[in-house]
Amino acid sequence: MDPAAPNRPSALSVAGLSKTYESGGEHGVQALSELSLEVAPGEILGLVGPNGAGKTTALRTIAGILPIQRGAISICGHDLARAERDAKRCLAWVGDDPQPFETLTVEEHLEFTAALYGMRDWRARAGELLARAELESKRDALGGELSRGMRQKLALCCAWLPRPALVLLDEPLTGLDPRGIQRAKDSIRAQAAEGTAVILSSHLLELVEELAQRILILDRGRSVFLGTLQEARERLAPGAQGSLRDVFFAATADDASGADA
Amino acid sequence: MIVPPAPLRLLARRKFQGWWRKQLRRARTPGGAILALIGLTVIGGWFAWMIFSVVLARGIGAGSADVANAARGVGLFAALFTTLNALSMRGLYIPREEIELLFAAPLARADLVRHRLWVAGLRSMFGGLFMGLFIALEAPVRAYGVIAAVLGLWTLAAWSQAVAIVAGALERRVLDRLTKATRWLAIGLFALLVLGFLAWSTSGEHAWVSGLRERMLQGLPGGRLSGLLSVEPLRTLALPIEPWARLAAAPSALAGLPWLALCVLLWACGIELAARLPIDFRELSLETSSNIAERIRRVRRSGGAVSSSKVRALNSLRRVPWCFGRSPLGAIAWRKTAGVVRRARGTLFMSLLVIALLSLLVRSFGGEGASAALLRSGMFALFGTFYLCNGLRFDFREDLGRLAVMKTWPVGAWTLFCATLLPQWSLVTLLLCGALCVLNLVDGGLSLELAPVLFAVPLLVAYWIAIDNIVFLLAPFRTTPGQDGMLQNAGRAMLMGLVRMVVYGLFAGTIGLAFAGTWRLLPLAGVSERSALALGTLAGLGVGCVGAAALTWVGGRALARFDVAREGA
Repeated sequence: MDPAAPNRPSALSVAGLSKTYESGGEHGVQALSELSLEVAPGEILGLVGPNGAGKTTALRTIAGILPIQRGAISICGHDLARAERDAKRCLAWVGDDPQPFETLTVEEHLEFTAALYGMRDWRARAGELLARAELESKRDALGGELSRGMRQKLALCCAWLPRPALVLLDEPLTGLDPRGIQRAKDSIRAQAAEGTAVILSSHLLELVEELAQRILILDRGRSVFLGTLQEARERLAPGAQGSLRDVFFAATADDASGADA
Repeated sequence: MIVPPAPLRLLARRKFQGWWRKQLRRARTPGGAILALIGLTVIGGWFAWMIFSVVLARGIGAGSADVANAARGVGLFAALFTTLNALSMRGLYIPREEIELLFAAPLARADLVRHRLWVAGLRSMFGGLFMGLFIALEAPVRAYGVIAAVLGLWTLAAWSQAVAIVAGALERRVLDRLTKATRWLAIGLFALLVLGFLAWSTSGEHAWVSGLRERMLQGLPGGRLSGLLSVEPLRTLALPIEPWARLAAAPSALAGLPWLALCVLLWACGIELAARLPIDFRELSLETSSNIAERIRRVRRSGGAVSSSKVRALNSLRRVPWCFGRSPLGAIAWRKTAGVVRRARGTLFMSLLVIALLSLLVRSFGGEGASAALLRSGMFALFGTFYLCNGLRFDFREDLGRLAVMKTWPVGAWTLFCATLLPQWSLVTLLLCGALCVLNLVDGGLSLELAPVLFAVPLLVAYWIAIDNIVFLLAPFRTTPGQDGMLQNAGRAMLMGLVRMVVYGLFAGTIGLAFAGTWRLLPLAGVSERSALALGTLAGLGVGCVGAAALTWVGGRALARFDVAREGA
């Protein structure tokens, strides 16, 4: 799969997205400023940035959790502001601290997700996802009984179940054990291979480097860089053969933060 | 000896200072200051009224015997309640954020118990003063009434702490080692013993049983427990409470001094007894601390009532019916229905309790004829709506931490609003309509006059749930145990309650007006009474449906503009 192939319809298109939190002082806090990006189907886009860079705000706005103040978001060709329901049918969101329903079992979470997205034959796929996440033995466990890692696995299973065109992951590997991390990575790759576009926000730079085809570096609400790691090296750390970590530090250092992609 | 060491005293002092600083900081913003002022006025006014009543009651006081009996009754009830509570809270309770720090610190365990009891004592001052003022209303020496209550509460805290430690240790050493079969055998034997005692006591002509029955049937004169406490076995049971009862009933300051000394001594002994028990309570305390933290977390998450009760693993086997179809709306409603089904025990208990109490209440409104029956049914519907909707709460309060995820669901805001509240509305409506039919059947059969009330119930319930949730979504706030900002919370709860009542009154009043206007005015134009009643019901129903639709729309808007940054408010 080549996500950069021309004429491929975008899974996500963001244009000039800006967001200001009014409660942040006299003039508010600019959380996002003129953010624009395109994500192709099957592409994994890594979203990185220091604390307070606007990563979660960007993801939450794309997911329709926060209202769009300025700019436009289109998911699979559906304008999020005008056709919110159609746009949301194409996306799934996994937050950094998933909170399953205490009164539903693991299997019922999947049953609920299937009904929410209008899926009829969900059992086979649910079984497959549970097996892949090693949650089969927990089918009848209640949401409130799950450990942090299991909650995370369940949230990922629910996200993959309706085969959404776009999945937004905010720190998806928190709380997982090494085997869980490996399984989660494999499932992200497998879903992307099936054509799901993934935006992966994480502070684990090695993870982003390993999975993402392109990276978006945000700093103080602005896009500092958007492109492949190779392009980032050439542009932000010329001559270096370093990892994403080196590029990240170069991009988010005070003197580099003004650069725009 | 009974005083905790300097580091723990310092900790208590600093925590109190921190609490005080927080209160002041909260009152710095205009909103916080206004809410604090309202809260202060409500709490202060209530307390002032109590003190004023005590002062005014001078001279009206009952006899010493009555005061002593009342104190015995209150004491017996408090002791019973505290002991039962202690059995479910084993070991020493220390908040989760402190327990590991304190257990790892170079402090004697006995000192931790002393510290805990002092802190608990200071925290119960407000409750003690409140209870004391009640007793002081009739105490010959007012101050002794208050002191007896405060000292009684402190001693009770020490007693319950000792019970919690001993019961926990016993459970570990005995109960945990029993097999499941032996445990059930022991429970069965105990149940047989209780049943046998009940059978024995009710079969023969035991003087005290008939006396107790008589007292119960007569009721408690003037709300006092003195009548009940004149029954011999209860009086024997209340013997340990005697020193505090005597102190409260002391006829003069001098006569009360020996009792005062004895009460202080008992309190000090209680603290030392609890502190010096040779039992290692650390594991139990960690368990208790974690259990209580979990309970508080559940209440914080769900906003209290039945929805905060724990869902046991066994209940997960109970299938949840898809009552509202398999559409996205049906799925969201199904998720909420799971809460009702999996907390069925709590739901059933709460429903029966409210319905039984309300039945007793409305029956006290006598009168014959259609109007009286309509009035009784109407009152049942109104109060039932209020109490059942608050008790059986399966609404947005328990989803406050999940609203971010819920907003990503592919449904419209008003669909989400309706679907989330549908199970609660259905449950309360069914319960109320069922109870109304049963009550009317018991009272002599169903009549046509019940029809308007049965039609009004779904609307009244819908109004209350919708308004309650709209106000919550616009100003999300849940009061939970141990939360900071007591004054602001009281003020905010008062304001929000007022807003809810006013809006509810306006909506419910409009239905009432449409119904009563049509019902009463049409007969003047020559329409028969029955037709007027039917047309009135239709008019009320029509107006009610318009109101419900408007509220649904407003609810959807409130949900759409809900700021998830307020999560956990």
